[in-house]
Amino acid sequence: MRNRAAVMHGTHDIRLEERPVPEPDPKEVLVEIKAVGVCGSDVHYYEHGRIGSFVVEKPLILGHESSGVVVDLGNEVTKHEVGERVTLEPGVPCGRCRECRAGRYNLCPDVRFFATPPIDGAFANYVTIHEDFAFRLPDSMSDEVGALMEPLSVGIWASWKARIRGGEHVLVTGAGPIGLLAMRVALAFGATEATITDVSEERLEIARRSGATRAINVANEPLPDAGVEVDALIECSGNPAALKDGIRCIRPAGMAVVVGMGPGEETSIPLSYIQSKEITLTGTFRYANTYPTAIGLVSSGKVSLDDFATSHYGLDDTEEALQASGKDPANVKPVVVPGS
Amino acid sequence: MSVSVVWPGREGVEVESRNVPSPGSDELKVRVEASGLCGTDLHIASGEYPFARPGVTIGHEFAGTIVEVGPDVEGFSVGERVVVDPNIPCRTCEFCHSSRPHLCENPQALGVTLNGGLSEFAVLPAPQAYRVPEGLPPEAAALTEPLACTLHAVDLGDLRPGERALVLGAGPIGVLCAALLVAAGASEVLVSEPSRERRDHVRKVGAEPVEPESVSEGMADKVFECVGRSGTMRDAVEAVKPGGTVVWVGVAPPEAEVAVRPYDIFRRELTIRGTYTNPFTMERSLALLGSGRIDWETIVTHRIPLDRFEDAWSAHSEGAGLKVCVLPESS
Ligand SMILES: NC(=O)c1ccc[n+]([C@@H]2O[C@H](COP(=O)([O-])OP(=O)(O)OC[C@H]3O[C@@H](n4cnc5c(N)ncnc54)[C@H](O)[C@@H]3O)[C@@H](O)[C@H]2O)c1
Ligand SMILES: [Zn+2]
Ligand SMILES: [Zn+2]
Ligand SMILES: [Zn+2]
Repeated sequence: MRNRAAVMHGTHDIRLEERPVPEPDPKEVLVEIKAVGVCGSDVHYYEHGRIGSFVVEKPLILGHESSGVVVDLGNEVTKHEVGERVTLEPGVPCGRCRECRAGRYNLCPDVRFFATPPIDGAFANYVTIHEDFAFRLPDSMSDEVGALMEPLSVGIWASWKARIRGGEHVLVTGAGPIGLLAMRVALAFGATEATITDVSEERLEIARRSGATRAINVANEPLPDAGVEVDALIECSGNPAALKDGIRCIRPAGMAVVVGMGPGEETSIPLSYIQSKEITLTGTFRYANTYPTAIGLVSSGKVSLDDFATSHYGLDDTEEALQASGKDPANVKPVVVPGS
Repeated sequence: MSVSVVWPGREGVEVESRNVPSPGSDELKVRVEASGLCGTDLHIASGEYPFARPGVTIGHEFAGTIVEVGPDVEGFSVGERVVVDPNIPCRTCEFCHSSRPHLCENPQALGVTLNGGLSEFAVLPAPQAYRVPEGLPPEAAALTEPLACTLHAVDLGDLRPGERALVLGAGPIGVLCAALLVAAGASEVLVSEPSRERRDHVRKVGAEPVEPESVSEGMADKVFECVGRSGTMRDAVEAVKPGGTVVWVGVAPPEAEVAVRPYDIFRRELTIRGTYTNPFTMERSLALLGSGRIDWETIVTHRIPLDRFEDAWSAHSEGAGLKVCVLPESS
C-alpha cells in the first residue's frame, strides 16, 4: 500500500508526496479514498493561505468531500466491515462539550475537520476516521455521488433552518454548488417555487436544468425590480448586496438563512424591514446529523446528483482541479479521483 | 334558478330547484364547476352534525367561475376561476385575535350553516375565495380544501425531511396525507390499510402500502391516524418511536374513548396532537396542486354530473373509490 497525497505548501503550491499509510485508532476505520469533490474553501486556502482565523502555517492536505472503501478496522470498531463503501462526514467533534451534548456538534469548539488547519484532508489515497463518521453507501450510489453527501448536507442544514414546508416559495441567491444543492433540497422538501439568482449565465442555465422555477441574472435584472416575494431566503453567494436585496423579498414573518460567507466581518442589513416584517435571520455553520437524510434523499430519488460532478482529475492533477472553477464558471464541481 | 342539494333537517338530502340571489356588497356569485363530497356531508345527512342548519345547501369543497361581483369587492372579476375556503371565522373572538381562527367561538361554514356548493350557483364572501392557477382543472381545484386540512395536520406533525412516516387508513384524507408526506421529503411513507383496492391507490402517490397486521411498535418517527376509530388511534400511539408525534387526523364519534397508558407518554416522551380544519393552509395547498406535486388524478376516482346526484351520493356512501366529485349537469 502506498499513500500518495497532494500537499499544499503555500499559496499556489501543491506537491505530490508519499506519506505513511495512517494507522487507525481503536475506534477508527482506514478508508481508501475513491472520490473527493473540490469545494470553494479548498480553493480559498489554495489561493489565499487562510480563511478568517484559520491560517495554513505548515504543509496541509486539502479536500473534505470524500467517499471510499473501508480497508482496515481499529480493534474496537463495531459498525463497519472491510470492503464496505462509505461516505465520510469530515468533522469529528469532541463529543463531550456543551454544544456536542446539546446535539449541535457542528458548533463544537474542538471539532477536528478535514482540510482545516492543522487537520489534513482527503486529497490522498488513505485516511482514517472515527467509525461514527463513516456512513455506508447504498450499492446504487456511485463513489462520486457519495462524496457529494458533504455539500448536500450544507443544503439540507440550510433548508431545515429555513423551515421549508410544502407549498412554499424559496429564494436562493447564488447558483454555485452550494446554492444549486440548497435549491434542490428545498424542492425535495416540498417548496413549489424556487427562484435562484446569479450573475453568471452559465450557472443560471445549470439551475434551470435542475428545477429552478425562475432563474434571474441580477446583473441585468436587479432583484429589487424583479417582483420576487418568498417565504424564505437562503443566501449562498457571500455577496453583501445579495443578502440585502434578498431580505427585502421575504414575506412577513419569513426566514432568512445566511450560508454564504461575506468578504468582511460585518455587513449592513435592512434592519427596519426585518423589524417591521418580523423576519427571522440566522446563519449556518456546516451541519449536524444530516448524513442519513442526505443518503436517503438521493437513494430515494428525491434529489438526483448524477449530473452534478462536472469534471474529473487524478491526484497528480489536484492543482488543476483547484483552478478549474475559477477558469470556467460552468465547471461547478470538479472531482479528484485518487485511484485513477 | 339553480339545482341544489339540500339537507331538509331530517334524515337524507333532497335535490331541489332554488333561487340563488345576487351577491351582497362583499360577495361573489360563482357558477360551480366541481364540488367534492366529504364524510361531513354524510354526517349532516344523517342528522349527526349539530352545527348544520336545516334547509342548507350542502357542499363545502367546491370551485367555480365568477359570474357576478358585489359592488365593494376588490381584486376579483367576472370570468376568473376560484376555489373556496368554506370556514368563515367571526374575526372578533379571542381565538380569531390570537391567530387561531379555526378555533373561533362563532364560526360559520359554507355548506353547513350557510348555503354551499352542491348547486349550480353559489354565493360566498369574497375573502373566502382563492384564485385557481392557470391550467388546474376544477375537479383538482375542488381538492384544495381537503388537502389544506391535511396540510395543517402534516404541519402539526412537524415532519423532518428524511424521517419515516406512517399513515393509518387510505381513504381520501389518508392518501392525501401520504402524498403530502412524500412531497415534504419523508424518506419513507408507509400506509396501513385493510382494503386491497385502496392499498393500490397508495402506491400511485409514491407511498408504500402495508397490511394493518404489520404495524408494529416504534416503527415510525411520525404517525398520522386517518381512520377515526379508537382502535387505530391506539395503534398510532404504539407505532410511534420514542420522542415522536402522533397526529389524530381521523374524526371519531363524539362518545368514543381511547385507552392510553400515561406511562408510555412519560417514558417515551410522546406527543399526541389533534388537528381541526385548515388555518392558513389554503394558499400552500393550491400551490402544491398547481405545481403537480399532488397526483390529484389518483384521488378523484368519480366524476358524476349533478343531474345524476343519486349515483354520486350512493358511490360516496358505499365508499367506492376515493373522492367523488360532482360536476355541472351540462358536461
Ligand atoms: N455556512 C456554511 O457552513 C457553509 C458551508 C459551505 C459553503 N459555505 C459558503 O457558501 C457560499 C457558496 O458556496 P459555493 O461553493 O456555492 O460558492 P460559489 O462562489 O461557487 O457560488 C457563489 C455564486 O454566487 C454568485 N453571485 C455573486 N454575486 C451575486 C449576487 N449579487 N446575487 C446572486 N448571486 C451572486 C456567483 O456568481 C457564484 O455563482 C460561499 O460563501 C461558501 O463559503 C458556507
Ligand atoms: Zn464538542
Ligand atoms: Zn370536507
Ligand atoms: Zn372567532
